[in-house]
Amino acid sequence: MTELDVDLVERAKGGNTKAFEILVRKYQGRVAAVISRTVSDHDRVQDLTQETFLKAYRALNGFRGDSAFFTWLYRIAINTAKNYLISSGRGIPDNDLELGEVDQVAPELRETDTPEASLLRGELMENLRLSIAKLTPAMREAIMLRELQGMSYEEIAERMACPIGTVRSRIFRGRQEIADIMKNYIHHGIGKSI
Amino acid sequence: MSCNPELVSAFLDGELDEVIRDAVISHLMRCETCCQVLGKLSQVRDAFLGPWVLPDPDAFTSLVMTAITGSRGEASSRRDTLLSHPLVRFGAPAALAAAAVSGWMQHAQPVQDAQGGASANSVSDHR
Repeated sequence: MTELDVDLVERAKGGNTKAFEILVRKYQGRVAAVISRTVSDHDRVQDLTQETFLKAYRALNGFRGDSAFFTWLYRIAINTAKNYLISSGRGIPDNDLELGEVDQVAPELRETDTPEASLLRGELMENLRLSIAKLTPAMREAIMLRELQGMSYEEIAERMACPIGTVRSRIFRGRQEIADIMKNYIHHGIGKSI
Repeated sequence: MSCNPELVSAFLDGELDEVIRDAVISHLMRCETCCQVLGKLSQVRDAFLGPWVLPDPDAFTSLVMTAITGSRGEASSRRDTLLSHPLVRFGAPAALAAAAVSGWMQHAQPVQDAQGGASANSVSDHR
């Protein structure tokens, strides 16, 4: 089993629901992001995200750990979204959702965006861009290297010629500032243009 | 370990050594504030994946966990109700006893039949 979530998954298998809750907090946004690429109704995205975690919890003992926990969860999310599309008579998009490099989830899923999803992405990205622009240059660079280029802390430290601890701090503070700046958009303005 | 949101952020990225990661997990297990920080930081990280983010991560986590613990509670409550039902409490032992008796009867039947057959034969013989 991939080291990262092994402890939490084992505890959850043993009936520790708090361990599963941490996994939910860690991955709920990623699961919602995956589903929202094919389903544009926000309430439905939340329902299907919830359904994905319920299915995962019920099937947890069958998870052998051959892949990373998120890879397994991603498959459940994709199948849940597919089943919804089929049952609602909408069919599966021409470029069928497939499991690719899930750690690089954004690029391969971008191809499956519905027009609504593309519009929402534009709106979200614009807000993100404005938030990032307000960060200090060092924070901005660390965030961009991490979130957009998927670099590890070690690679970022090398690129920015600073200790890993500094990278960790810049990424954390950058995220915190983005969260504060975007709070208004996330809570009130999300998807208003749709 | 005390609250350290910076480590929570690095935990989210899978950028902690095993020993520190274990300590962060143990801390998260008992610190609701840091769990909320984890949800908030995840929301920012996931905004880059788009096209849409969960508006209220805490409320959503609660919803999922209520459904999980609720369904588990509901299942155990249904099981408890079922087990406490008089028909089950007294009926189950009775059914087991009946099954045992029935098994014994089935087992005994061929003997009786054989005996009956023998007796019938003997009757016909008598005839």
